[in-house]
Amino acid sequence: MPGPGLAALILAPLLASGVMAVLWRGRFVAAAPLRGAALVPLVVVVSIAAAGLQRSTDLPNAVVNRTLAATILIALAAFLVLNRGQPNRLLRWGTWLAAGGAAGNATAMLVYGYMPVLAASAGLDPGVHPDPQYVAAAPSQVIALVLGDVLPLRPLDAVVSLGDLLLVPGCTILLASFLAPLVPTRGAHAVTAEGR
Amino acid sequence: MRNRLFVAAAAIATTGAAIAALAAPYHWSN
Repeated sequence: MPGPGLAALILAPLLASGVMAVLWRGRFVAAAPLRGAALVPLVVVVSIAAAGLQRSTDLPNAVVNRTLAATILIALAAFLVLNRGQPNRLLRWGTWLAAGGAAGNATAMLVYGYMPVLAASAGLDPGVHPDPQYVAAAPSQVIALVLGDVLPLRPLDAVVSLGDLLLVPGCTILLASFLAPLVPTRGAHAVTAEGR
Repeated sequence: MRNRLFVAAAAIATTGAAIAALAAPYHWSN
C-alpha cells in the first residue's frame, strides 16, 4: 500500500482529470491526439522490474536506481520528441509539466544513485539510507536541494519534491485529454467524437 | 459504452501506476 503522500499524488490527478475531461471536452477533442502513450506502461513495467531486482538480487541499489532513472529519462526524451508538434497549448503544458516533473525526480536519482531527501526535512542524519531508494542529503548538496524531497507535508506524512508537484497537474491534463473523447454526449458532438 | 468504460478504467489505472513509478515522495514512516 502506498503511503498517504504517494496516495494523494496518485488520487489528485485521477479525480481532477475526470472533472477536466468533462469541463474541457471540446478543447481536448479538437486537439491532436497525444503520441507515445505506449511509453507509459513501459515505464511502469521497468519500475516494477527494478523493485523486483532490489528485493531478489544482490545488485547494488545505486546501480539499479541509476539504470531505472536513465531508462525513465530516455523514455521522457522520446515522449517529448514524439509530441513536439502538438499544436494545442493545454496539451503542450501537460506534456512538459509531466515530463519535467518525472525528469526532475529521475535526474536527482541518477546523480545520487538514490532519491535524495533533505535530512532536516526528514529528521535524518545526512548520508543515511532509510530505504533502498532514498538517501538523506545535506543542504549543501545543491541538486538535492532543488530536485530532491525537500518540502515536508505533515498532514500527508511525506516530504515531496518539485518533480512530484509538477507531475500532478501534468498527469491531470494528459489523462483528461485521453478521457475527454470517452465522455458520453448527445447529438452531433457524439458523432464527431466517434468519427475521430 | 462498455468499451468506453473499459478503456477509461485502463487509462486511469495505467496513469496511477505511472505516477507511483515516477513520483518519489519520502514518508516519515519509512
